Amino acid sequence: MVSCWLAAPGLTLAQAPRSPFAAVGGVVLNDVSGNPIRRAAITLSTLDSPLLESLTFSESNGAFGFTDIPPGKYQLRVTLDGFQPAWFGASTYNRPRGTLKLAAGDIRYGITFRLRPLGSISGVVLDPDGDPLPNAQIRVLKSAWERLKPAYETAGWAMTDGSGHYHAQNVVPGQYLVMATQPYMPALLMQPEVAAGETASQKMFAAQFYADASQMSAASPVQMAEGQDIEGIDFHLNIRAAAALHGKVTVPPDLPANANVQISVYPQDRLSDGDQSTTAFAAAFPPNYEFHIASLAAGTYVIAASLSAGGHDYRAVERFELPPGGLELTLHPDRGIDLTGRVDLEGGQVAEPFKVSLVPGGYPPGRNPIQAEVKLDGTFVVPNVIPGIWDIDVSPVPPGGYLKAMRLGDQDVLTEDMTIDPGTRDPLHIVVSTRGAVVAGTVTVPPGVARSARAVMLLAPYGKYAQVLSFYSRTNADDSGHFEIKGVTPGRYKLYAFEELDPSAYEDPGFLKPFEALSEAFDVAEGARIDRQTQLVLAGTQPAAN
Amino acid sequence: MARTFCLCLLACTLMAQMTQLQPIRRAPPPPAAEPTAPHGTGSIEGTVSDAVSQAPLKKAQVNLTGSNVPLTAVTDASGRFAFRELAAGNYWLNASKQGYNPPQAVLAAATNNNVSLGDGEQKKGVEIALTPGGVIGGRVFNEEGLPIRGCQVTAAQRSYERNRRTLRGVSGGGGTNDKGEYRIDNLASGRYYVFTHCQAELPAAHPLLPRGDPRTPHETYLPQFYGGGLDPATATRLMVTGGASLENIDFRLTRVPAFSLHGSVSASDPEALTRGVNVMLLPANQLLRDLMRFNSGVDTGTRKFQIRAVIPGSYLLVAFSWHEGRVFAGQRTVDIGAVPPEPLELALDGGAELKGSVEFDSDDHPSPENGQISLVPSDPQSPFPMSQPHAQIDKDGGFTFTGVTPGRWRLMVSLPGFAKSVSLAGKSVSPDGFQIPAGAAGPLRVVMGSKMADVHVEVTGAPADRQISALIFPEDSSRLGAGMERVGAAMGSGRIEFGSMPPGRYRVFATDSPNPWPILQRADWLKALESHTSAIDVPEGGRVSATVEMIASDELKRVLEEIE
Repeated sequence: MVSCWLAAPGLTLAQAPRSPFAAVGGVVLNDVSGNPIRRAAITLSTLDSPLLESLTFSESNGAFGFTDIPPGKYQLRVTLDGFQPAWFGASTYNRPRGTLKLAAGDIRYGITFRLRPLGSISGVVLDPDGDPLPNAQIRVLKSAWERLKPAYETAGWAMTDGSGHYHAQNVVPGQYLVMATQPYMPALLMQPEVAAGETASQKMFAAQFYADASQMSAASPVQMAEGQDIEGIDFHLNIRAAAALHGKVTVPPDLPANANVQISVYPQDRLSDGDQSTTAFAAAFPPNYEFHIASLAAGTYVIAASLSAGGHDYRAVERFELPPGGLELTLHPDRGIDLTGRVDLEGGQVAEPFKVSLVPGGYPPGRNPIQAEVKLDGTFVVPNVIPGIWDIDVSPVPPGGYLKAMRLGDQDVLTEDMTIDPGTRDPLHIVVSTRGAVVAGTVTVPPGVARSARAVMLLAPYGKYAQVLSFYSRTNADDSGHFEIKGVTPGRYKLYAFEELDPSAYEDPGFLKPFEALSEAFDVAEGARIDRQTQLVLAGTQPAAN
Repeated sequence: MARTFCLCLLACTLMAQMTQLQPIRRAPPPPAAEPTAPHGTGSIEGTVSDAVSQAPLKKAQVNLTGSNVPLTAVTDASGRFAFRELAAGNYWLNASKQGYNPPQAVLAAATNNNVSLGDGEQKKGVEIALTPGGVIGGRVFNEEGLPIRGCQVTAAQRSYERNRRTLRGVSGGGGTNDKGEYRIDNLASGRYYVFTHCQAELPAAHPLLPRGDPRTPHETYLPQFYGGGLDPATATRLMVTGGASLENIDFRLTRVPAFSLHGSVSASDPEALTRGVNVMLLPANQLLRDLMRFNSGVDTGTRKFQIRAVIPGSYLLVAFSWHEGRVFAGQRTVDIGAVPPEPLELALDGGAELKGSVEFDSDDHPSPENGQISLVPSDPQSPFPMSQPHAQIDKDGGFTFTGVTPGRWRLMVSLPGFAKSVSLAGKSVSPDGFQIPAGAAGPLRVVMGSKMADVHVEVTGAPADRQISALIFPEDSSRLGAGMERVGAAMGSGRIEFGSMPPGRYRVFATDSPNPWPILQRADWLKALESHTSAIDVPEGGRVSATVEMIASDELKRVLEEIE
């Protein structure tokens, strides 16, 4: 059934009998070199259920094909190690995917996929003696936003080999900072002369950003183009003193003898750089529940101590300043609370019981999501909620419905973070409504521009709730520019149609500023249906800020 | 705030990645109060060099232990180290460097140097030579000549365990990198097979099928010995010498159809499934068991397992679990052919109870109470190395094993004396290896001989300043590995004593090689050395002596290399 019919000689379309099936084919090329790509995996999948998939590989001339395809709507995806995945109709990951509508006898060939090669960053890490350093850790960092705060995410990772070389691969085009560390191994440096009684202080390698910067603020960004192999990103690590953290955990009295306490030392926030940016783990064991981490650098950290015993979870989180001479610390974990509450459904019948999930939000990490079933009377108890910020998830929200209200006591936790502390006693009241609004319409292509109206639609809250990320909606407009966004929370919005949109772009609170003049704000009432015509924002457009 | 989906997903996967990168470390004990070291005016200076190239070794760690707290120096570019302000006394010097003194090296240079320092003595010119390991490196490619990453490449040596030839994987890296490169370093000199296994499940072309359909075909790379094939008989053995690098030991792997083996575990005793169950698929060919294995966990809820990317062939499927000191295990053979295998059911069994007694052949013996008795798998390739039933012996000599699974076992008794005779259900069996049937019907009766023998060995032809080892081992190679082989040491020619030996026929030899113990683990080497060894009959409760001439380390090396 699968054959690479483009490669099969002798088929002329005029002679082919009208088939009850369709066929598609094309070629896979390297976007940078233009050369054909062999053994790319091409997946044809149905858009409607049942979900069916067929797989084939490109030949050495890049050609691929599927025959005997039943009529229907399909998507095409191409994957190959070392390249960004590509979808039919979407030249990048940030564009909406196209749909292949195939009728009996259709033969669609000439589909060209231009795969974008991923890049790599390589170099060597040397110690202060100029010797190659094996097992050093390289992190390729990309700036990002998290909960409206700037952060860095690890976009690539590598370890140096025995000759100190590293090769961080599969890096997408972009701007990066590159950092080298060897956080857990004492530095081995030449010291041929040792006198009796000499106490060698433990030396560690200091983290370094390219190029030779000890702080992120002094780092030189590395700009990566598509498929670029950037070499010579070298490091010459320096030495720093190790500051020891010694601690003790006060544990509940009835703790079983085999329970131990997990200790995690995190960077002070998501922007921490250099030596304070790696996470260290330890455990505190009975009977004294003491722990010791010898290899930290002086600086500010956040420490978490977690344990489970007797069906309860406990956790302590504390920020501390580690001086160069070391520190002793005592942690007092708090027991998680049982969070009670109720879910009410407005405007409909409960078809299946709700589930309420709490997902750890905020910083530091290290907690697990918790789920609770909602009883028939609407009440629920989420057990073992340890202190911290928790995001709330209710499912299933009925089709077209929305989360109307969430209150912890008097606090609105729909638009603000829910912070649980050991003394929290207020119930969590959740209202789900079936009467979400619908924002629908069409995308118009600017006059004189030959583009598809297919777009990524972004419905963005405007004004007071602009920073409530859960109020943002993203959907795709189809080939003719039609779109429909259901389950919209009432409020004031702006609507944008992007030809290309990074799915996480709007997490940057400043991202929409330059585009705001392109869209008029409008109000959406509960249960309303609003039709909007929206002009396509072409890829690469950066209108001037207001 | 309501959960925003894509945001958390990103953050969570990121954190998951981050946590994987960080080693979990156990908190070390807090630093002890600084001991006061006796100071003096003596010093020890020297150099560390490569035993093969004679080149000085930079950044070798030199540890000095003795009357002071341990001191560590790190050599400079000329290999030099110096310990100063030392009090008079006896010191040990030990040097190490990554890539030197491979752990399996049989005839490596000694790394421990004894230095006796007088008051105010300036000892200079202490030479420490480190034996360099060998290196095998290369790349793994697919049919298109593209690198394959994540392949395990193992260097394997022939090994003998209980008279049976096996292949022991002595070293493997963390898998090939993105360029398909691998590098196995610090190999002891010797001959090695090189084997690669990439347990990759590759998609294969297929027509429209429901996503996740069990008929969806897959491929994997065919594992291979360097030199070709899955059979060591047709493979190339590479000679590795210390300090040398064998480069371009490349593999070109072909894709073959691969299957997923699905199944579930069951147990009549629910305790078997209270903890996690591990499932292993081992090649039926025992030679490959150290080189190619497939592991899987079992879903605690559904009790199902899945082993991916399995190539057609004959296998042994093994499952085991632990609960409160008990081992539960099950195994069955599996043949995988050209079609996807049917789901399998594997039952875990906690084994049977086996009662027995220990008595002595004379009245003159210690009380057996609190003695330990255990069963050790006598098949060296037993997939259950962890299941070793053991029991405490009571004051009347009685014991009860639990969890005895069918198989071939040998007996170990931690009482003074030796197992003189053993019977199972009234039938005499050899203590060195006997079959226990399913259900383990007993009793197991053990008669201990209490009259041990003394052997003394006179070594001749040894230089006075060399440390000499005498090795004694049972002549019957089936008795190797039962604790009857011993090594004794002395400086120069002279007498080496072996006390409390079980009776039997032994062979003995002596050498100045610093690390001869591994020779005793190779029945084939001992066989090859037979003409260099002396036979000795050790009677029960007797005292015998033997005179042997030292085999020089170089001669020993030559003989062993010849048979390799």
